[in-house]
Amino acid sequence: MKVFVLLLGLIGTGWAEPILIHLKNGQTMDVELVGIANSAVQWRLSANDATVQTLSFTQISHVDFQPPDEWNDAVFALESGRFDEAVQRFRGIAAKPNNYFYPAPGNFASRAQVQLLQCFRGKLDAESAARQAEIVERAKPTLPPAERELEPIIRCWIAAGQSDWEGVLKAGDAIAEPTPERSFLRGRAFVALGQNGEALDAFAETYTLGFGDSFEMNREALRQSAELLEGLIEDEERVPELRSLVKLYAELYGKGALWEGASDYLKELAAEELETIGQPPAKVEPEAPAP
Amino acid sequence: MTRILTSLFVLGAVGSCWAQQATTTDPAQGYNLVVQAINNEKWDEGLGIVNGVIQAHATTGKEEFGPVFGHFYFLRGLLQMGKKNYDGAAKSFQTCYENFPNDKLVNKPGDKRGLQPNLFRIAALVQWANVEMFQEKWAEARDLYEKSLAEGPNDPRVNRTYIAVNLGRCYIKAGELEKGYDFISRPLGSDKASAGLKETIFFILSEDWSPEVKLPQVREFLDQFRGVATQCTPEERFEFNPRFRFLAQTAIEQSDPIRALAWYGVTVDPRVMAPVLSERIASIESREVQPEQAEQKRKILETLRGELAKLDAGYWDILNGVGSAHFQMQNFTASFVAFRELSDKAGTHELRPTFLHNVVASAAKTEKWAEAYKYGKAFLAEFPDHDLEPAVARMLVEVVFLRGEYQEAYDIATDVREGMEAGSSIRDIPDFITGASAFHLDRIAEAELELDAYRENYPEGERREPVEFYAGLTKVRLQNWPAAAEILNGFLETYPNSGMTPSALYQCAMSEFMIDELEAALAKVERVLTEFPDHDVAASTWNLKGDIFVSQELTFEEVEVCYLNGKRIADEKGDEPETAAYALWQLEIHSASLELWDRAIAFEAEFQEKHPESDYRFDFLAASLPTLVHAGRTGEALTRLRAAAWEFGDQPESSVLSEMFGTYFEFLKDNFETPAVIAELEEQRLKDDVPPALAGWLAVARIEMVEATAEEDQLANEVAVEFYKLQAKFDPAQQANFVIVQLARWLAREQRKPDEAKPLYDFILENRPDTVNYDYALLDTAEIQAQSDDPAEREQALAKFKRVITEIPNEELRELAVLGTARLYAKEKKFAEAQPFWEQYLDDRSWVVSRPEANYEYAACLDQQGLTEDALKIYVSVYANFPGHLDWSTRAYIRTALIMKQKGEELKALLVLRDMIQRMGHHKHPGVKQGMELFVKWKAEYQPAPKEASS
Repeated sequence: MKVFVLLLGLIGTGWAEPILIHLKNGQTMDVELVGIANSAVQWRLSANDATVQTLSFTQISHVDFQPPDEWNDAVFALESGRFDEAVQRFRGIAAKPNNYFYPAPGNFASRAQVQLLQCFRGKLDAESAARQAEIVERAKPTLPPAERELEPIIRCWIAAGQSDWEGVLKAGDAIAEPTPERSFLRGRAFVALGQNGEALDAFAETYTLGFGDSFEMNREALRQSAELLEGLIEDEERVPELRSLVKLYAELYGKGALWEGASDYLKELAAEELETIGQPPAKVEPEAPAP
Repeated sequence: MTRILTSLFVLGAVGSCWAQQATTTDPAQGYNLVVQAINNEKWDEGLGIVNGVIQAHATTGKEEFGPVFGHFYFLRGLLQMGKKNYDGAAKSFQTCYENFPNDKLVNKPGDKRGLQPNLFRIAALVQWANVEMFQEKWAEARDLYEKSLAEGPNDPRVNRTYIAVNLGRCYIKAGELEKGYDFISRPLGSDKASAGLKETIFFILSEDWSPEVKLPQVREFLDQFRGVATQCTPEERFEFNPRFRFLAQTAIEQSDPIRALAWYGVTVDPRVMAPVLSERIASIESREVQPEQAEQKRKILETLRGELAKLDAGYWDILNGVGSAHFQMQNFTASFVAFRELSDKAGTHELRPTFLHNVVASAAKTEKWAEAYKYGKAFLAEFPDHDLEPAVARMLVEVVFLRGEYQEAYDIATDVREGMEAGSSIRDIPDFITGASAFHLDRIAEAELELDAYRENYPEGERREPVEFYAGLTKVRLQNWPAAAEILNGFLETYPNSGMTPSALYQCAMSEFMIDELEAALAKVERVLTEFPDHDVAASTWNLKGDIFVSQELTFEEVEVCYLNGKRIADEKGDEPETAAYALWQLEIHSASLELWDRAIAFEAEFQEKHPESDYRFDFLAASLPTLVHAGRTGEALTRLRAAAWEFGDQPESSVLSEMFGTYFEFLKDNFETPAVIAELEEQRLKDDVPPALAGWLAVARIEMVEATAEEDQLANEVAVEFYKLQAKFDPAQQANFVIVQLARWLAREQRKPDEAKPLYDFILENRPDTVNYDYALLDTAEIQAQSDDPAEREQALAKFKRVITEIPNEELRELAVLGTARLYAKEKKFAEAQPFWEQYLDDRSWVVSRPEANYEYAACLDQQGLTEDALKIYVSVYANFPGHLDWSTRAYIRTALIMKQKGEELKALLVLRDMIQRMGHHKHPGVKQGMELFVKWKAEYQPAPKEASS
């Protein structure tokens, strides 16, 4: 009778693959997966073991499943910065939870929701990120512990998605170690609040301190910086700075051109020669890498 | 070396053909030993064997064994490569390839067994190419690689992929950039190519190709393939960092900051390795090892901890490069961010001084004054002796100056510029700040010197524009109106778009107004009012326009409009009460002078209501006196005047006290009878709490009233009584200069007590430089000392006269000082020294105090120096032009007569004396008496010459 009940609750079977179960008491179990029920994992010690055992989710911290190819492809798309493709792939995984060990904590359908949040951050899509954060919040029980707590920066994204600009600044202030991403969101908030000077500084923090970080974010920070400075400059003194911004954008982020809608003035500046001056005293001299 | 892809082969597999031979010159044994030596990197051992074999079979090997004997040359090439004998290796591989072709594998007809082929012929070609590549003979290597691909397309002993990569690199290095890029880059976009191959190609293109091509091509390359270097694990990316940093640093060195930032853009923040390393350390720490492995564990942990500790430094080095690149391209907002981060976080970095310097420079460029100040101060506190200290201080002084901290700016600037050459570019800003700060600190004379020096030393100075402005303002403050107008006009012409134009126009107009260039002043005033109607100087400019209209004697209505506008704008702005007060003062003056009493009363009421504490309140009070009198408020006016005098009555050096007491005294004289005036003065003086300074003024006022009213025969006594009263308990420290000088003069001139007068003058000279009447004290003291018998005193007198002549812009005093100097030299019979002073005196025709004396004494100087004829003419002019000045005219007559007599012209001498007696004989003057006595004596002695008698 007991087995019968379990079978009724069985969501997926037939994986027969190794998994690592992390118990809440800190122990781990290297076993073979048999199936996932509504509230338990079915497992056996090995393929030769005829005894199938169950372990309630209440005893399990999370399970390390073998990542399926769909998951690996989606992660690769995300890490390659192909955010739209990654969104498609993760949504595909999330849409078929039964195929990806749901609702076991550590299942890929739930984890795909977390990755979707990363995709929206990568796409700088605050509204989607804010909505996705709520979904992730609801998915917490089925996530591995490391993914259950939202990073503090997500509070900034949620506020930005709700156009709560003061909230963005407040949430940003609560972040112990400021990051280029925080600066970027602060920059957006300052723009919305009309504090253009502060916004210019915040965007500069983004692309300067995040030199090897998000391509999308740095590109957007540069674009915003150029447009802000164009509106701020009153005399010739800062024109070289504006020129350097648009040239940097065009050469590194715009495939040689500026963004759609850039003013004619900025286009003219981007077409001019870059004016360089000598290095500052902290001179950078090439150091050959070790062979 | 690492970039050349070489393939070593499993050579043992081909050794079987010699298996039956057994000596070291035996090919089979030798072959196996050589392969073993190569595998063990025993190059010399291997070379010994292979050379032995080759030598033993040099002439017969090919015939005896066939092309396979070429293998020994191949092995020798590998050994020589190991020994870095590249020329030898190339030769060996060449021999293997060229001398041992596989075209003849049958030794003689019918030999079924045949000859063994040279299996390494293409491999030798490839290795030969590798050797050429090692030696950077790119074209030669290219040709050999191409040949290897053509001749051995399916040779299993060579790796075609690696050959292709090396060939591509050779194309690039040989200058065939496009061909090389096309040849080599294809695998980067291929799914089939391994990650390792892609990485190799990516770095060949990054390091060999990208520096040779323009930035857009690099951008396209990175746009397409950056993923090869960025879509991998943090550990892998971290490993790539040094190579990208090198590319970035090279770009910065070549002033190509965007390229540098492109490379920094593919680096990874080294700190991503922190969790990886921490986890590894924790894992090793928790691992229990056998005692014999403990040392190894310790070393591994030490290495890992060292790597972990260096992560921050790695980040800082990259950030320094990023900041420098932004700085180089003048994106100072970004360079500020980078160097601020470094200044805040890399507190112990050896480059901290330069980080601080750079953040200050970037902050100054983006007008982040607070930050520039903060980091500049930190630099000076931490690195006072650093080489960059002058440069930081130079920036800091301007920041401090802009913050309005003028004393600090002045102190830093003067300190910083020590040791810098005047006129050098590095001293430019400190010199400007010194002058401008001195101006703001009210050290106007010093400001003038500094700013004038700047204008001289820096014709193209960085701060020429503000310096011209400040120089103009300084002249205004010194009331040197012509110079102010000249400088400010120059400023307006040179910097027509300056932000300081409205202020310059106003100050220039004011200066021109002061030198009566009214049209020019008015034109500038109109410019301010039409072009900058909302500027801060607008209200003052309306007032100035009113002043100009007054000078042009326009109607009151026209004048009134100006001052009313000045008052209105100042009231609206709310922060210029003094400008509004000035306008009211002027309106009061002009309405009262025209007896427009209603308006005058209204202005007076408005002033009392709105500006009772204004700096103009005393001027206004003076101006409103006629109005108050007209309104029947004379008592009120007197009360206010009295109160003003009492308010400053304990401040002996106050100019307000002197001015208000003067106004009070004049008001008394104008509006009250003399007895009432005297009574008022006496009443005030006798009050118990009358302050000493005010009491002094009351005393000299009373003396003036006594001088005006006393009977002539009583005058001296009554004046003396008043001065005695003043002198009682007289403390010069509590008295105004005017009162002190009055008393001193009375003592010196009336009482003939110069010794009592001199301490009073000395008090002023020693304690009150640059105060009113100081110059009088200086001259009076000089005159007293000039009378002394002590040569040292007279020397001091000369020095004081000289100070008056050179330092005091007062013509009256300068005249007396020149006169005093000339007299002193004359008294000391230093005629040569006296002569130029008499000449100076006579040259200025406006000096009239003692022209007869000057003429006579000048003649006397010439006379004493033997120029008698020249002197004679002047003596004659003295008694001819100044007969009434008996002291000098009688002396001139007598000296003329004496000269005549000395020349033997006795009759002419008598005639001169007779002329004198006829013109002046009625005067009881010692000179006249002397002349008469001489005439009598000479006449008695006179014996006319015959011709003279007959005539």
